[in-house]
Amino acid sequence: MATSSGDEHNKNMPAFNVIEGPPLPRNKHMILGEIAQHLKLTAWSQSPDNPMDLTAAEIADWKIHRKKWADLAKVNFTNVHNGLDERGRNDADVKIPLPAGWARTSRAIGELPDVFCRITDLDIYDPTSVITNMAGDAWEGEIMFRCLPEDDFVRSCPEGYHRDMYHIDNPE
Amino acid sequence: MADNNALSDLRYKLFLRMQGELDLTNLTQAPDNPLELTAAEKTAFADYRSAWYDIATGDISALKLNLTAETMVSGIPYPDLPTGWAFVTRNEGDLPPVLARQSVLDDLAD
Repeated sequence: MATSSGDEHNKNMPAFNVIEGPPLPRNKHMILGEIAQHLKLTAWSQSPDNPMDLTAAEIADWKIHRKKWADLAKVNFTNVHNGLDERGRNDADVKIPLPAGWARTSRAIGELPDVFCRITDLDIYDPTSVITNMAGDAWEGEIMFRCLPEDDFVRSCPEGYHRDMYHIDNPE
Repeated sequence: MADNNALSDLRYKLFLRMQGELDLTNLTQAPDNPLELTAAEKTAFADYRSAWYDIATGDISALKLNLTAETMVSGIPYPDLPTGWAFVTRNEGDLPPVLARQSVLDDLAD
């Protein structure tokens, strides 16, 4: 018989039932978290006030994009990695292009929060920012799961790095 | 000349701030109107959100990086929140801000 968290023998236990294990495998939970975060970060694209002046076509494209993200929850991924050294392989075999004309960018991929902007908003050319996927191909705006372990931390870049970036130390 | 492929440091900071502003005020435009905004308030927030987009994509020639300034950029023409609303936090800069009507604020934090 199931016991509630208020039962005497559970008084020092977490609220969820650790005896039976967490409700989701770690990877699945991580994927659901990534999906939720992506939908949250792109909510403006479907907002009635249209704060970024999207065209009707762009709104429709973003809706399709977001739906594909949501559908990732139904995929039974078997190739998702959590480790820092493994995260480069976390493309999960699913590529979801951004709507045409849009980019997802950051100060340094994976270390500072992503922002979404129109490609026409990109205002500098940085020869050090040739973005590739982990296979070395040119980045085409597809999604990739980037899974940071809990002990990741950021620190300022060494002197001489010409852009004011931050990066995550590799423990190796 | 190669096509632009990145955001400048300053523009990135503006986009990041705009993204945060849109995130925090999304509920003001939700069809179910959970905070029971008046039509005028919804319009005012739409203008506020649009103003942030204009800041992020607008002329940055008068803005300067300043690591002690809010958003680490000085010179931002901050739009005013609609009358009667405020962002509040437990300890400024440390805990996430929340959007609230000023009428729900109490006077315990003297």
